[in-house]
Amino acid sequence: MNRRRFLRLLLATLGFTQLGVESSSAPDESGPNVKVWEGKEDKGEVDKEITVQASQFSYDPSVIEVRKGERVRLYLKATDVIHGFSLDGYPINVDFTPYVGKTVEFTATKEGTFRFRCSHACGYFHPFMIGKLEVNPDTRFYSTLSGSFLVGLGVVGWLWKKVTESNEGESGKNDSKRE
Amino acid sequence: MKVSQAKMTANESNISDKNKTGVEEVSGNRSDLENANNSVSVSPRILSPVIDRLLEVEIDLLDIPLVGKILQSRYFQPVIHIAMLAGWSMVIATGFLGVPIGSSNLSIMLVWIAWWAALLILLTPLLGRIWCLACPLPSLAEWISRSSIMEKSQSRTSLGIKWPEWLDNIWLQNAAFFGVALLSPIVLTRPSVTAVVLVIMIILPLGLDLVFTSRDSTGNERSGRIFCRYVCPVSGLIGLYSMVAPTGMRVRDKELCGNHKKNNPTCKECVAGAGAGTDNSAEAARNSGYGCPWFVYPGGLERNNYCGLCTECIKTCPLDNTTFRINFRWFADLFVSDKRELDEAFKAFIMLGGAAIYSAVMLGWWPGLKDVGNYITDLRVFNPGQFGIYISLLFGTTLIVMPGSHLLFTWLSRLASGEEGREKSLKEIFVDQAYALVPMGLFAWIAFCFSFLFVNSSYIPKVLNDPFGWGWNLLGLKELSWTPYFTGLYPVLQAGVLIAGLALSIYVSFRIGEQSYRSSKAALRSTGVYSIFLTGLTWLFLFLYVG
Repeated sequence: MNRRRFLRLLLATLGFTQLGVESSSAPDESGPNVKVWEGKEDKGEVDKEITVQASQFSYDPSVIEVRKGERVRLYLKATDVIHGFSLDGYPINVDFTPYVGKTVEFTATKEGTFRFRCSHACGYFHPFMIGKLEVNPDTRFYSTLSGSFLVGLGVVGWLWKKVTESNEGESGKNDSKRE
Repeated sequence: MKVSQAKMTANESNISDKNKTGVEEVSGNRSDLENANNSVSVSPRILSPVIDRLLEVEIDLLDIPLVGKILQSRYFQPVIHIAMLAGWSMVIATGFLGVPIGSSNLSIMLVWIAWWAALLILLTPLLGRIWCLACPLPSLAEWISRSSIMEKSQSRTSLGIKWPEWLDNIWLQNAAFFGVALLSPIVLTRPSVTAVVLVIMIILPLGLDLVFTSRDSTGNERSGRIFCRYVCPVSGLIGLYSMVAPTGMRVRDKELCGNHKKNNPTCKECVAGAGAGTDNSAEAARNSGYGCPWFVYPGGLERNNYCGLCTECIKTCPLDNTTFRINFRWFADLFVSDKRELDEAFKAFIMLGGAAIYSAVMLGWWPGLKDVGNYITDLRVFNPGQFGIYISLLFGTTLIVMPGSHLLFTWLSRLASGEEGREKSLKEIFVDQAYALVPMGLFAWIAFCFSFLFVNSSYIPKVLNDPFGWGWNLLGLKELSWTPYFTGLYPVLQAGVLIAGLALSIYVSFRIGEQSYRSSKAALRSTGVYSIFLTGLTWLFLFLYVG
């Protein structure tokens, strides 16, 4: 095994790189079944169709709301330079040019809020070109809110219990001293 | 190897007694060597026996023969500095000469992705100020000042101008952090600006350390790490968050240090340098350590804040009384009650507020905020209006909203504590309770780092393969493409980290409350109210990261 191949394998093993993984694919029937094509050609009916305009350094709309299970079609259009669209949690990562654009179709199989970001260096502020997809019902966000509330309450309750026990212990000691 | 001196047991050091006062370790100006024998409580009184047992475990790195030998060697820090300086020179070179695309330039990826994440996720929470031990930026100034790199010299080059007493605090570090934060959207995205900042961070120590002296705890003016101690913006945040770390320099037996001072009142080797008390220059040269470059009295160390882990005190201490200890007492420094200051409290506000603003501007989804952050466009057009909004957001959040909300909830929590809590003034409780924001602030920064670490770490092997972005293929990784990792998982991790930060902050708030109020019940009532504020902050960050 030569040095370069060894390094590649090592990095892949450590999780720094992936070997031979396509960014856009259709994993299985239960998955998001992603389809990507050039331009805005209509390929049948979907539940939601949205045109997303990308320009340095934001998307319009920057928030996309869909419901879980909906078949979503995004027509991605750049207004200035080449941009990208990479969606967290979904195997979607495409580049698109100002004149042609690209269409991405997928099924919103996972509920929650997912960031999408530009994946093609488009200028200095490129790393921060971010939008979000809300797949409702977004139980993940609300469960973290209620989870944090419960944890906070739990810590205060635990402290309360310990303080009460400690006070009872001390008063018990005092009583036995008196006796 | 060190001879163990009457090693202080965990139980002894954990005796809770808020009337005891510890010695100020910050600098000579705040120090009182006579109090060196006192220790301050650090141990939770109400944890389970298993955790209590775990808290007693303490490892002294100096007890490991090889490590002890390395730490005592004069070559230890200079060798690290030389290696680091070579690496950072490469970073500066790529910043100036490489392509201006951040994702293809080593300087941006190594500094703002790898180093920043490592600093906040691993180095500071686990090892405290370990970065300050390795940081090469002030090393040039130090070498020039000492006229030596490896061996100890007696000469010190300095103009000898006294550092102003009113700046013997971290307000300048707070201001410096603001300076960097104002420029962050530009610094983080332009390799050449990152390189300029790094060069400034090398020049400033030269300008400050060779000009100013500060008073050590024996009352003498000495040259040293003026920049690191009073100005460096990174040092300020490391100092604050190193309070959670279980690693740091301490002394084995404080009594020994106190008696040493009594026997030899004019000379503390750990403060003034080995051999400082002798007229024999040959003997002085043989001794291997400098006085603490951070103007700290090691015998009074109770917190990690201002100890740069330079290991000089290990080399100087004639009693072998120093210890480089690792234990499981995370957050213990936060409970050292008599060291709390307003400048540090504001550091906590600035860091927490800064994390919120960075998250909203850089990681948020609002197009308007992107314009605000990108106040110098790609065509180098400066937009003063957007810059003004950015400044207002940053200053407003960190200097008005954060301290204002904290003040409101401190006042309410003091009311909730009942009459018995009134023995401490509102200002004192305001400062004390600000330290409860330290765990939350650190964990918010860790969550912030997750956002870009998982998404952008695949750039790191790419820039190592081609540091300047010139098309090199040093490691044969040219075909690597950008691949975000665990994008479905990291928001969950962020939520977990934020919730853990909330739990720890509530706990710290209670423990601090126990020091402020007469009874635990009063402290608990106070914490109950303050927890509303902490929960609100957690919800804000959850909204920014998971919402």
